[in-house]
Amino acid sequence: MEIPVIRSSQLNLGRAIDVGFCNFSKNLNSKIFSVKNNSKTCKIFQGQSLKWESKSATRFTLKASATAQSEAAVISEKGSRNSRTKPTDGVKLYVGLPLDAVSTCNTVNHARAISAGLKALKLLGIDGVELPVWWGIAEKDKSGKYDWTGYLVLAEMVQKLGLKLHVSLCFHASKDAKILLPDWVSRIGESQPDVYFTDRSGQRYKDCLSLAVDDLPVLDGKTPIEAYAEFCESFKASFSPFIGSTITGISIGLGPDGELRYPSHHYRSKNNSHRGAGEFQCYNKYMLENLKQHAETHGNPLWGLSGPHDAPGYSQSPMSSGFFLEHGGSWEMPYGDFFLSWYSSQLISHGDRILSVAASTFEDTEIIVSGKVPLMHSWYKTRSHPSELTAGFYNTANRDGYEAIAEIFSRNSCKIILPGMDLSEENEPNESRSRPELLLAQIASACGKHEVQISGENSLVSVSPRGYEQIKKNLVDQNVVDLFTYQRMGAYFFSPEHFPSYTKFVRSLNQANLHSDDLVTEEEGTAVSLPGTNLRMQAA
Amino acid sequence: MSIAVIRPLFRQPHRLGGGHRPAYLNSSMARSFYLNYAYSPRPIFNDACSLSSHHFKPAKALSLRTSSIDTAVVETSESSDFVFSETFQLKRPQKVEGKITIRLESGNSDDNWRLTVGCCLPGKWILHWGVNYIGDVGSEWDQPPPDMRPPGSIPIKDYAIETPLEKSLASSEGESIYEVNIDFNTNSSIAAINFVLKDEETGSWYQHRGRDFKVPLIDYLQDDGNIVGAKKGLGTWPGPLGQISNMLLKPEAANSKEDIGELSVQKRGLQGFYEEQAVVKEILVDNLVSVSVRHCLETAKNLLYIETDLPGDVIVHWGICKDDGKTWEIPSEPYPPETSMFKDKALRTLLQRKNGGHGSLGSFILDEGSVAFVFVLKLNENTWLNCHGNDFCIPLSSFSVPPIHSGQPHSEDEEQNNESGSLLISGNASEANQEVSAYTDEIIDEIRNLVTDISSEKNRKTKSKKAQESILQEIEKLAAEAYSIFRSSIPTFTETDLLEEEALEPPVKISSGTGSGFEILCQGFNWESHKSGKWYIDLREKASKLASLGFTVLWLPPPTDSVSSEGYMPRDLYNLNSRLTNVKMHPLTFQGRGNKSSGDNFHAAPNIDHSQEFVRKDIKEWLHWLREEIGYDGWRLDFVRGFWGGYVKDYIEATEPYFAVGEYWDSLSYTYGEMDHNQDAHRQRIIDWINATNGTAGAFDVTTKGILHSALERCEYWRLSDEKGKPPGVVGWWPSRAVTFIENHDTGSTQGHWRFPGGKEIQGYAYILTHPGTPSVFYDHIFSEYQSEISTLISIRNRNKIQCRSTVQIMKAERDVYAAMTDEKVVMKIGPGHYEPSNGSRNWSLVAEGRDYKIWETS
Repeated sequence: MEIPVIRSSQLNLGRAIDVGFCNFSKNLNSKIFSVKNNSKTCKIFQGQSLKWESKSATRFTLKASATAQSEAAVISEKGSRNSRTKPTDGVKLYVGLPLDAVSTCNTVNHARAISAGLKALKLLGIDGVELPVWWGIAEKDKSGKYDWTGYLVLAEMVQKLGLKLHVSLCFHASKDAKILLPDWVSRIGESQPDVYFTDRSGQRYKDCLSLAVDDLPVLDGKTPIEAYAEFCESFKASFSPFIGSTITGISIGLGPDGELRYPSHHYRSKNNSHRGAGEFQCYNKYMLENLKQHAETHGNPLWGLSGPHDAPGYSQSPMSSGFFLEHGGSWEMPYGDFFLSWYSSQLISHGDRILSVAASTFEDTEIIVSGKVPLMHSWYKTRSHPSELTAGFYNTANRDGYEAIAEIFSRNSCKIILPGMDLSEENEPNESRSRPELLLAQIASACGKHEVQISGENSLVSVSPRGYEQIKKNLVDQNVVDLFTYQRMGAYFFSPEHFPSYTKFVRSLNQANLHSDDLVTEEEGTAVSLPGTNLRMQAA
Repeated sequence: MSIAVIRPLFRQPHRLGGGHRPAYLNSSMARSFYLNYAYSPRPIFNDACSLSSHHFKPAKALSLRTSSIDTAVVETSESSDFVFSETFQLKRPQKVEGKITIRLESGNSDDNWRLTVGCCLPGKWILHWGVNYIGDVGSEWDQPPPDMRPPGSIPIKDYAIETPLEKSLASSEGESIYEVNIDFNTNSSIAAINFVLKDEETGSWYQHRGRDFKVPLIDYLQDDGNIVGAKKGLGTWPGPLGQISNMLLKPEAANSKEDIGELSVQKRGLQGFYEEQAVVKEILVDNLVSVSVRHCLETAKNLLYIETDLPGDVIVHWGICKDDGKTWEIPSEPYPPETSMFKDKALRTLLQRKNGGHGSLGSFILDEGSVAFVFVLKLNENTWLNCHGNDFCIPLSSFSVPPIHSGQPHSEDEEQNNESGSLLISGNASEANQEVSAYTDEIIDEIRNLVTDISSEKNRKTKSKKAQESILQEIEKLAAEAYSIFRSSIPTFTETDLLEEEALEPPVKISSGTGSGFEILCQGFNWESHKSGKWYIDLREKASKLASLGFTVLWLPPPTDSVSSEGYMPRDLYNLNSRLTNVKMHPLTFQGRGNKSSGDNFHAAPNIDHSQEFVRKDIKEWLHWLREEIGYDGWRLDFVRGFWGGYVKDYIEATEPYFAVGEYWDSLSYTYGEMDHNQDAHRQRIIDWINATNGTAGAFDVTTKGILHSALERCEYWRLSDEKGKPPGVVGWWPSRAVTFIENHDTGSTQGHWRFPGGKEIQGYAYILTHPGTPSVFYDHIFSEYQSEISTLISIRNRNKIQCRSTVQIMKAERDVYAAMTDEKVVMKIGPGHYEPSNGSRNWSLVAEGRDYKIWETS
């Protein structure tokens, strides 16, 4: 261990700056790899990590103990493929680019604003940006005809500034950003509406394809999974100059809004009042066929005729009808278990399919693949967790539904992107029985068990001071969070109402971890320190 | 809150106004005096705690060049042992407290009263005010009756008046008082006078407890807390992040919230009063520091003297450089008295007060072998002074006097200034942006350098700290820039008065705002034009071509940057392009101090104080001279916001140009990254400006350009129709004053600040050349592969006598196609979608067609 090198990194320059330190972590990685390859056990490796931890503790006594904890977590995580990164950097900070950064005509929107914004972020010490890449833009006109021009321009802008890029491959449509599915997909959807998720009343959710058609050749002879895989391949080929250097991460779209879930709420309520818990989305032709088959194999063909008859509607309170009742609800009955197991397993295998496609595509690169898991936190206080159940997470008072989720991410060596880092119970309306913090902790713990890394995101556009505190808390407490993406750049982000508080957040995040020698002395009178530059210190 | 520092000439010579000057020198030597007025150092947006520096560079051996234009003064030493001697000008931020006075008193009769609002701080004070009438319903301000408006008042939209404060005769003891008197008669039905005070110099608005000042003239009970009379605090708006808020301060819509309509009103016996409100403003105070170095042969040491007129305790935070000037080192002892070590990084020496109390001095004995003496000055915890973001770096080398005194580099700079005159002259927001980004790149490079430079640990802290400060400033500037592009802002729109005005307009044949109405402009230069040095000759050769293409107005580059070595002046061209209508446009750069509160003017321009009558008079004379003697027929007014349209009117009326056009750059409205469909706020601002010129000038229709960008680039042709089915730009509201364009030397050419979507230029021209307004075609486009298409479009315009007031009817505005009919004679469509005019009573025949556009005429 080259401790002296670390020593030299104590200067107040930090983050993305210390050449010596980078070398060190590379050395560390290579050592670990060699250890791993030779011995195939984790024992030696664990020993190293302990040694390291103790050293760091003695050397930097002023640091919060949380730092040491995260160090341990970080190192133990090396066993997975994720160890290609340098997790010793502490939490990386990213900011999302505007959803419509590239227009439907494949040109960069408000390039000047983005350019200025990127520079501001770079100077603020932000590590990178997240760029949504839309299926509906890059493969707009024709299956297999890709146009990456706008995105390449952006990638170059980002590269020039020395920022990192996390690309989100979006296979969904966005109403907010007025981005649709590819024209050719929408046309197919018009003639075969069963490619979409469908609720009990027959309404289609047209912002993404149903997971039931993943392996069906519905797209002019291609299956959606094949289409996604080809999209990834084309992306990889087109962006090869950036991959591993500028592009360090990819998120793969897993469903509505890119998240691994059913679109249990067709329209997200704007006013945040999650009155209802959503509806099950198992009513398109393919889902029903699958359910029927499953019920027959299960020996209960009658259970396969439809979805639960006693589930409440979108606007109804979950407790207004039988399925989710606290006591004696159908969910606790054998039928409920049958249905929910099937419903959630469909989602899990869908996630597994897409993650493995993405993981194998990018296997030979430096890129880490991530997928987004939603934080369905409303009604978490109830025993049945109705919001999670309709979204496809069989997580109740009796059952942990996230172990299985974490397991597929772990199996594919993928990271989880988890929103809601800014949410706390206080600002949730009481009647929604929401417990975002608890749910987040539960998912994080499942991830910890399966050695899955988490990238955090905020959920609310307007993060309150309390929200920032919550984010900070999560970044420190959830020691599996190694990256936080703030969503997202735009007029509001840079507005005088907002940007100063974000700046303050970034700075406070760093200053909390400053070595005493790096703190600006009062004598100097300069109340500023280079924000963002000290996160690396946290890990040092 | 700004500290300006010495601007080393060599760093950004052409941005400083140096390039501007030759223009005036050429036109009239005598005028240069006033114009030098414009060179007062530009304030740089700073927090008090920051060392102002736009251009952070770690302490590279900064060779100080001197120049007579700039602030540093060389004392050329006769004495041979003076190794170095130089005086630096410092700008020290100082908070000045003053007061706003409000006095209500009765005049010569009982019914005549006078309200006097004054301010004892220097500044360009403007009273922004309006009244409430008795019986008014709602809270809107109204404009006062004309007889109540003091001379020099300018109406702002339909609800307010802006009156500049004049220096009062009552000024005494060297303290000037600025004030304005409003006389009114109590028999008029005015219920209250509302106002806020604006400092045009800084863009700050001074309000009363965050609200308007309100002086009630009748009894009524509602007091929303802003009635003048109660003692309440006052200050500029606080901001969450000092500087950002300063830049982004948005003038609040000046509406008071009271509803006094329903009250039974009764004149009360008005009582005079006198009120004072404390007000704080940060100003810059000029100070000097002079440094001289003497080499003592006997002791082989250097003696360095520092002398300054800075008041109070001055600490010199210093060190020496031994090698490349990058690394601060601690010299060996002895140190001067009152010296302490600062963290092994630097020394701090408190300068001794001079006898008499004014200023301080100190002397330092330094060993030979040091290359330079580096220092910054520390006044207090929050105020540091440096040399343009760099440490002061005084060369000590006894054997080689740096070439800085030779004067050679200086003259190079001068040349550069001349060369880049055009750059400066049209210097506007977009140039500033360029500057910002170039500068940011530099900073980012610097960070990288800092990163890799881990050898000089000692120096790093100093460097990084300063880097941090300049970086923070930079972040804020960039954020503000990003915001100003992303954001939307919403002043109210008053369409009706415009329409009325248009209707009332007498049928003038030629007015400065419109020319003949049938003009087609050619912007006769691009960004590179100054480089050829023979632009006028080139242009002369092309003049006949331009005339044959159908252009009527040729907009020439400013004469000063086209003075070639052969000495061609515009005069030589004058007789040669008689096939054109002899109209030449001259860009004028009158950059007022932009309203920083709008957040989009990052680099305050050289300031001409237009509110000073003598300055205006001088400019008027100069313009007149250009017109009469040189033969320019029109003006193009480059300006930034903050330059009061009312002054433009003065200039234009004084010089009677054939045609005048202003360029008002502003950001369009965006909501969450998406350009708003409704750009009324944007065009309103341009129209407000035209309004303030009384319609004597047209304005470049930046709105239309912006909307065309989005429409063409993103295939959103629906944007080309506003909610009322009219064109969405200035051309939709005040076509006769709209100069439509798709590119000019700032946006296109090699500058490319805001370039029109590539490949879609002809669609843009198909739009502007078939629509009302006065179209302007960019030089680069005329002499490109587009020439024949542009020529066709111009001939269609001329053939059908489409003019600035033509009527346009939008036939279709959908996602992928836009179609419109002009004067019922021409139909055009742009966009990939399909459109064909229906052949009803008229017989349409296709006369032009190209990529994504078609044009038909009636046959």
